[in-house]
Amino acid sequence: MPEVLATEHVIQRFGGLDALKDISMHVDEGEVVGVIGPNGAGKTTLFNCITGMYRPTEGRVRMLGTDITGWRPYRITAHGFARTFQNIRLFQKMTVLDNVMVGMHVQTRLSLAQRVIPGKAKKVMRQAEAEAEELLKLFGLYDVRYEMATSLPYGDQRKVEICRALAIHPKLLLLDEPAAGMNEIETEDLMNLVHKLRDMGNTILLIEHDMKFVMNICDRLYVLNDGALIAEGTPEQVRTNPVVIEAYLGKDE
Amino acid sequence: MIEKLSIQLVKHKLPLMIAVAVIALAFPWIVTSRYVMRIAILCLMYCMLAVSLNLMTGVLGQMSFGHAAFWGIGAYTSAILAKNLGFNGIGCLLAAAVIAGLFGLILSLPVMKLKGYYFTIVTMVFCQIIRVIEINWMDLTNGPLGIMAIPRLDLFGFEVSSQRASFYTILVLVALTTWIVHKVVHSRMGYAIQAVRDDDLAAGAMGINVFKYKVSAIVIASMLAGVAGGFYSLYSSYIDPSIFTNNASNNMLVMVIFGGLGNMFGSFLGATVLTVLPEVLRGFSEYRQLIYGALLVVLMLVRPEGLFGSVNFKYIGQRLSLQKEAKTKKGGKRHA
Repeated sequence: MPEVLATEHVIQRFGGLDALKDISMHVDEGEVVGVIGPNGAGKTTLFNCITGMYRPTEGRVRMLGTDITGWRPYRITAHGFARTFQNIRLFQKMTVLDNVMVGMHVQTRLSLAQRVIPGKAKKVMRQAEAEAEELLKLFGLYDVRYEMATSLPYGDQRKVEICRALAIHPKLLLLDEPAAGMNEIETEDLMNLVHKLRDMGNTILLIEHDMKFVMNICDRLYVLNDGALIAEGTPEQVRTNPVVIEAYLGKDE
Repeated sequence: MIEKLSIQLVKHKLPLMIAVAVIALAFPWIVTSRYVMRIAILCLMYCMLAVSLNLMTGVLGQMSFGHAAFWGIGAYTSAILAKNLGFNGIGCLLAAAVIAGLFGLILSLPVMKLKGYYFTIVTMVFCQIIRVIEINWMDLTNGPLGIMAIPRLDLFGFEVSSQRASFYTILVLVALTTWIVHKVVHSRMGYAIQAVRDDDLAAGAMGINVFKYKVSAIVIASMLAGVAGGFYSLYSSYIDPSIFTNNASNNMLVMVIFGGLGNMFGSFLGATVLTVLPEVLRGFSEYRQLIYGALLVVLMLVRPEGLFGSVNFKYIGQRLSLQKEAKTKKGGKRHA
């Protein structure tokens, strides 16, 4: 399978703090890969390095064979990565549908020549809206498409955010703690959704705390602790890895 | 109450728009008083300024206390072109737009680094700087004396000298401004600008070039204000730096906030009320400012978001169409 994302020896320092220490990882097409680790392990920092929110102090990030180290976030998105945020960041003064329409930004880009054609821009926007509505149907949010996004229950807001990211048609979908703050039922619901996304052929990289969630969904896992990669492998391998158990539960004295 | 009114406005959108158009077109034939006509013309010009400022403040979310600077730049550009170069056609208004747009570009370059209040302070200072230039660059602007006897606007060989002709000219300009802003807001660019307003980090993660859209919105807004200025100097035939002050900027911002941030209809209302009100209150002489101030305080207490600040006509329309759909579906079932 061709590689979608690779990081090579990524190091991120904040002053004297080494937030990431030499992280090399990769995600191949069609995979669902999880990044786990205790609080403060550097998971979100890693995400921010990949999506361009931070520029890594050292090391390279490659996307679909292109070196994207130091690119601005919007360019990285336009090139094929889409992300959600740990603390949901929906556009507050917009409806559910319009939130997804913002996600269509990259898809609806017109060349200069196309812009001159009368009615072309309108047609493209209408097609985008139809597609956004299809996406919302898939997520069971079609009936609330004209509601303000922030008026929805928490679980649904998370879905809108994922929906908005999918509108980008990403080559890689990055989910930052999608199950955070969700109750049991909402988590179950989300798990089914991610399974559905994966069956549709999406490549997904996710950060998660919820072990059950991760073990159920991921093909491969990376385990971060204190900014360093301490283990990788299938959920089964990771679960039984003594180093991981020590990092999570502490050493048996 | 405003919410219910808004629903009615959307429901009867077409007849209302036709009615407004008819009244606007007939206005100069009904009203003969030169005084009223002058207020009506200035009122329309303020509508233009408020709508353009709303694009920057309501849609992009950058509070600006310096909109009068662009108005002044447009006014001086067209005055100087008309007076010194005998160039007072439609090109004069276009030049006003271009020069004001250039200054808008200069102002917007630091916006990437400055957010919120910091940007607001820059706009305030910007307005002051432009005024100082207007006062001190004697050769170009004639300083505090101002520019007098500016030729009238000349549209395709027809001199716009009567009040009626001026009224129709500004009416067309207002319609154009509204059309342009409407087009911008309801386009791909509009989604991007509003996304930047709500959350610029998330907007960047959606593939939106935040810098580009911030600059574009500010440049468009300043160009439209420049045209309003260009019209103003050719209409009033006299300008001086005491017109384009921070105070004038504040007035425009009050119009926008009074009507509601992000709502163009609100800006029309704000500009109209706040231009007409001081004239109506003229009879109360010394109490005028007091009443004006008290009314604004009451409004801010009752509706801090402005009259139509929480109203989005597009969303109301969408919800109405949804209700209609549901009704016809129900009706259909009953028949079956």
